[in-house]
Amino acid sequence: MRLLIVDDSNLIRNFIARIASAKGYDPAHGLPGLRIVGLATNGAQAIELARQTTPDLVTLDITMPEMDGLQCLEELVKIVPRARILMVSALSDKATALTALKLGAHGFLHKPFTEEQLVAALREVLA
Amino acid sequence: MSRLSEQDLQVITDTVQSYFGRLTKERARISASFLAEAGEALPEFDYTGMIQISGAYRGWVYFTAPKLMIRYLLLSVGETLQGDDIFMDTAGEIANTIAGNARKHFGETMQISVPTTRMSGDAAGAWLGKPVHERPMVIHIQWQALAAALVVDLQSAAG
Repeated sequence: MRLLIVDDSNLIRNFIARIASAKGYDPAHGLPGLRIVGLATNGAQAIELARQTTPDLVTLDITMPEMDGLQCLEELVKIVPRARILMVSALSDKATALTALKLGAHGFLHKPFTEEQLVAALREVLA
Repeated sequence: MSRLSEQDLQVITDTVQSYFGRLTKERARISASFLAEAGEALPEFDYTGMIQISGAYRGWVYFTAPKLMIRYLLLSVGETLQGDDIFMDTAGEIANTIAGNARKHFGETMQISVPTTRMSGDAAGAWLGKPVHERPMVIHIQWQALAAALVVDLQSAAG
């Protein structure tokens, strides 16, 4: 399963990549094998990478430079309609989460999150 | 324009404490919080991340921490990369997360920017812009015996 990670923070991209690589191949965590096909730092780069790599799963930040995650989400659901999309954001108000879900996201994980919360959220959007 | 209430500031300090608690399983302690004296130099450690606030509120929030705290934080989440870039990125991400989490209380009409980051000694003159208040709120944070600070200069646009 191809995973695209989108976040302007190097720390968060690395954290998700590390957990996905480690847990994505361990059946005990209930995740299919996850292969990272791209790391994007903003929405525009994510769209370009999504066109090239057709990910099955995307983790998508919201507050990013150039193109934010909600604008990017609107494009991603057209470009890769089968991809499961997990929003990963510090924006913790209900309205933002609802907007993302209406636009086609499959789940919402609030920052900060632990390794266990990330794995649970990935499992949930893939269920 | 109205100043933030005590409850607003409590939300911000709770957010800081729970940020450290959720990320590292050890909550931060607020060692002091007070209004800076007019004209007083605001705290700045080795790495700083700042968020501009607009919309129904205006001003800024910045998180500033020493290198050692950021190194420990990174290690506590399994990050082995070290260096100024990742340290600044981390300070920016912390500021972003604290401001973003605070929207649960302040509402979605509080707009937050992407973080601006800097190292102490960077020759960026007016990096904070013009303060909204003469006396921003300074929150001193302790985590694992290390000190950092969150500085909040924010006010509501509502009457």
